[in-house]
Amino acid sequence: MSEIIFSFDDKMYKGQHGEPLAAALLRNGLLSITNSTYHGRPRGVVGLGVEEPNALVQLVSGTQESMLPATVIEVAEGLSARSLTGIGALPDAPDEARYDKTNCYVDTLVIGAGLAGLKAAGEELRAGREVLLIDDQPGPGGHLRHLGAGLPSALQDVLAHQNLTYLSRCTATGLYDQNYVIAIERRSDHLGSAAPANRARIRVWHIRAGQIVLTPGAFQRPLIFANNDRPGIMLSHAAATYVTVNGVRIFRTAVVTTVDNQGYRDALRLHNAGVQVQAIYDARPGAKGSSVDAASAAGIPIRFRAAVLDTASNAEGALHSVTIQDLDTKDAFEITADLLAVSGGWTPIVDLATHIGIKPKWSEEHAAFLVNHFTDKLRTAGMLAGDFGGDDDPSVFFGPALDAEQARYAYIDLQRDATLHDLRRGVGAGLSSIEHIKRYTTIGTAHDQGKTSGMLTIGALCQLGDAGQGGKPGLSPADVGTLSFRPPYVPIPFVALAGRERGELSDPIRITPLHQWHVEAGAVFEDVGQWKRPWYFAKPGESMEDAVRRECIAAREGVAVMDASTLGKIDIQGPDAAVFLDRIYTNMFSTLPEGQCRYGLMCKADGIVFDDGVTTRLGKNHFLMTTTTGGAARVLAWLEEWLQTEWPDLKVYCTSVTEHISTIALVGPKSRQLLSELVTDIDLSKDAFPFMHSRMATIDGIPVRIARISFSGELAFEVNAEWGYARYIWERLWALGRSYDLTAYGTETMHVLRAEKGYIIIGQDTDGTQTPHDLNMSWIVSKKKEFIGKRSFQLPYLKATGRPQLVGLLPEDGDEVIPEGAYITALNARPDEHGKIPHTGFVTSSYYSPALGRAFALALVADGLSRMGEMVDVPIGKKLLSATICDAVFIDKENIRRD
Amino acid sequence: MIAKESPLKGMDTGTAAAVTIRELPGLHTIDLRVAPGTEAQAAVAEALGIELPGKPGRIRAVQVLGESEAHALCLAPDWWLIVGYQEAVEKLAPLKNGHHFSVVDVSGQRTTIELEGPNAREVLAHLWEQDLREKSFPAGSVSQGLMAKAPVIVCHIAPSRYRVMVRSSFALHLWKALVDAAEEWN
Amino acid sequence: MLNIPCPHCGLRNETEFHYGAEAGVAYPDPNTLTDSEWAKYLHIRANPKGWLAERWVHFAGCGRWFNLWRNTITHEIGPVYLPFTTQPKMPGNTVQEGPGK
Repeated sequence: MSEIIFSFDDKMYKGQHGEPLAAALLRNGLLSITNSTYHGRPRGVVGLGVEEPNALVQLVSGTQESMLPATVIEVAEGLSARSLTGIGALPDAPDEARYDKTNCYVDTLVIGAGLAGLKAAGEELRAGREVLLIDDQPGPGGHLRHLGAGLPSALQDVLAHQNLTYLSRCTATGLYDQNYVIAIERRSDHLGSAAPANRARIRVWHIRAGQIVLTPGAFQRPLIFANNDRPGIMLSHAAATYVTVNGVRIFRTAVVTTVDNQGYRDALRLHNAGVQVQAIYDARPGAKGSSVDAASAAGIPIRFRAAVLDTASNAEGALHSVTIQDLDTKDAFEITADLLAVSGGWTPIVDLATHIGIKPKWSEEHAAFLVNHFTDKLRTAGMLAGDFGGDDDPSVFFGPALDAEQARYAYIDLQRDATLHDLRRGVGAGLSSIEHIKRYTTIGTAHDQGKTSGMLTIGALCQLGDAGQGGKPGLSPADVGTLSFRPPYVPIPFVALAGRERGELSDPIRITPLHQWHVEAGAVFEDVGQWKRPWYFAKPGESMEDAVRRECIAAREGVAVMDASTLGKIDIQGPDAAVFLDRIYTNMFSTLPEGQCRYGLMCKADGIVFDDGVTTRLGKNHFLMTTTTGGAARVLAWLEEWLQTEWPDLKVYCTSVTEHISTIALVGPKSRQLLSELVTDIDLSKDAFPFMHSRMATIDGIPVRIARISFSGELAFEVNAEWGYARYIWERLWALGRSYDLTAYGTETMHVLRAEKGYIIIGQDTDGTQTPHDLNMSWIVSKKKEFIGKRSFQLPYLKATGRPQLVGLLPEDGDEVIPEGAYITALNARPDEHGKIPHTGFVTSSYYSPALGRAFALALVADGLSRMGEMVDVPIGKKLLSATICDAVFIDKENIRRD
Repeated sequence: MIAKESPLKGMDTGTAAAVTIRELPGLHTIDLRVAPGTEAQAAVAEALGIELPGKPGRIRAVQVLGESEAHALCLAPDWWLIVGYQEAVEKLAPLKNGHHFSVVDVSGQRTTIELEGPNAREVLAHLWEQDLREKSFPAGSVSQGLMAKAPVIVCHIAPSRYRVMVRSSFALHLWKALVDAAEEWN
Repeated sequence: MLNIPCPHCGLRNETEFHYGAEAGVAYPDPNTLTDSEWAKYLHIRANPKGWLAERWVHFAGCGRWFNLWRNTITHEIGPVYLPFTTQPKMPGNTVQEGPGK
């Protein structure tokens, strides 16, 4: 231990490296640390760890994390913190500390490194298992640490065992089905300014354990009495620990109130440390055991059937005196004290067990809810299982009977300032379930989630009958039942859950082999699923509109080039490949000659269009399917589902080759001429290489497959090569293309070009409810064969009138590009009987067309195909645009340009 | 012959004490699908002159004339990847008429990132949800899954040496994630 | 997070799988069914509280479809079986674990 300087509320204090901040504050005389959230009453440290309801602080140093109990912060070089009134504030700056996660599989996970946990770990090690031991304290030993005692040598051997991994400062926050545990390990704050920058501050552990041993220990309970919240009123175990282990010397005279022998042990520790213990007031009628004898022998006065009724404060709001009541005669008297050490019994930490639905059972003997669970997968031990270690002998007592005025300041949940008065009001309002009362009173809903207040609530409910407050007399905690807790056991910063998945690592960014070229060419990118695709290539000074117009004109009048490598590609082989495709696509593929390509549409069984693309027959039993950019994975999964689960007799194998094959689309009237400079081993002429044909060729010795496929209606060639050759081929085209003014284009231009031809984009021009017929694509629906979805076209609701159908839309004002998604209403539509103007469709795609010299759109309009020429309204904000329904093909209806 | 460009060209972290991360570019890979226990499978194995590992999750190092290192990875009962066997497709082509199987060159589909060093396993554990313990995933094991949300194939090629085969479009993302995961270890 | 036993790859996190709804609903001959029978095949599945035989696909792993019994209340997973094999019997009621048992 070394002495260091830290800052609290802008003042400098001395502390010991590694001790709890709460201890350092107390030693420096800060009995009152903050004011309570709602009642504004002065409050000080109450407990020892995560159960602390009062002493919340916000870090000023480092990450500025807030809502941290001073009991769990370790004093370290550079520590700076300030008090909170129970409401934290998020810092303005992002938290740039490192957070990460890891995955861990282990034979046995032991949660809690107290005596029971260490013992259990030892047994597991002897059985030959690998053990992960986690504990939220800075060191092992549990209560031994609070006594300042070292570990017995047998347990030191357990810790040193090669098959044991021990993680300190590691809190299990959730226990889930199948022995899955999430734990957070705090790894750097305790190192202070010495913490390496690359060290993760918090590591989230995802643990799968063969077996789990739960030995989480217990929290000491407070008692309910009037003004039980003053600074100077502490849990006895916490007070004795701060005094004896951390050298807190601020208390002169103490009163101990207890329901068990723990109070005697703590009284003795205080006494031995020089605090004058006025008396032990024990709610029980008598007590025996070595700790009672020892306290008695030390000369500490003991009075049975007595408890604290009320307290009074000094001018600073800290404890000054205590009113003691004789529980039998109800006589009361006052006694001065600056420390009231409260021992209300133990509350074993049942939280994790209840996460997976285990119901704790009330034990009258222990005055506590216990979990005795012993299966192959999960067992409990230590205090949770009822092993309280000594001669505790607690009584079931939560506080004396209080009148209405006393109840107003008898706190149950210190953090929420919720009192016995509030609880009585809840019961008076007719609530009886603990879960309802929790929500009515807010008890147990603060950062500590009822760690000390939960059991008090149950106890208070039981005593309401005795106090004549309308409760059920003779109610036992067993009848009330315990709260069920949900993860997380302690608050986890969101930033820790995000871990490394922030910024560019938050989601995969998929790129093509031409990505770097696009970056260097100044492309503006668009996210298409996880892919980064060039949206447009703006030249210096160009707006997006300028760039897209230039790119469109190049494609329609000269030659332009696009990276189409993101298309999904699936290799399909086998004797039944053609039969299979006939069943998958709405149109026929078995008739497709080798070396030719065909556009296909696939539906789900419900008749709804699902994906589309061009499939090429590479050989008799060999096809290459392309899918939409976003559809690659789900189409492959769809094919596999049918092959594996319905048609295992079909001899077909499907293999994803999306990233084996890159695709460059060369588009425009001059594309043939340019390509013929690069591809010299095949004839690219119209007659030798017809539309929708595919040919193998080479470019400088690189094998390529060239296909005459057009998504723009222009003469176009697709150059397919292995992924790693794409950059070379693109650069060659680019160099040769200089004399053609070759223009690179992005997805926006692609959209304009395809929409001008009325080519759909599934997911943009469809919304998951369209059949091919709705899309005016009846031509692609085979009548000769069976395929997935065909039967559904006969269903009445897919044949009904009023279905949205894909049409073109020409705004009256040719300069007005209608926003995509805009609703369409009938011309001059009037509100219906509900005062609403019914819409008749919506705009799916909308662009300015340089080829048309005007704006145009595609839209889904109710019965649109039979409403050609009809004028409709498109309300945009306060404006009302007019447009005319038209055919969805805007240019080259005769398909002349593609040759 | 024009050289292929690998997805991680120019990426290099250098050698580190805890874990070295490097790309093994351009490993020739074929995807083989054939029903297990059939004549077709026997014919394929014979034509290749190798024995295919029979159990999903196993890697078999195979001797191929003219290749320094080749492996057969079993990914599913009827699915193998054969890495480092240039002539595999040619050797299998003649069998096509008599047997039903699928063989596809997928060399460009993925690239390989190798992690080597005493902490290779710990670095992987940050990103890999599967059990990497020696008893569950010894050297000679292969497994598919998601790493940093990217589909990958992880091979435990030798003690303290792992290979992550990643789809080419995801390669840079995964590289960054792995280098990031190694930050505290190196 | 559920741990699901893939019959080929072993126990894996549920994030590697896709759910495929109720098992054992074969694709019927569409043309022999009335409209309402066809619509029922398309849209109606048993949704019991308790044990349900389900289809799953290990999409991020071996890519194989398989079936398993799963208890929709307790999340317990029962027998796993391959497509076109006999469906194992529905598992019995689960024993509530606790003291004294």
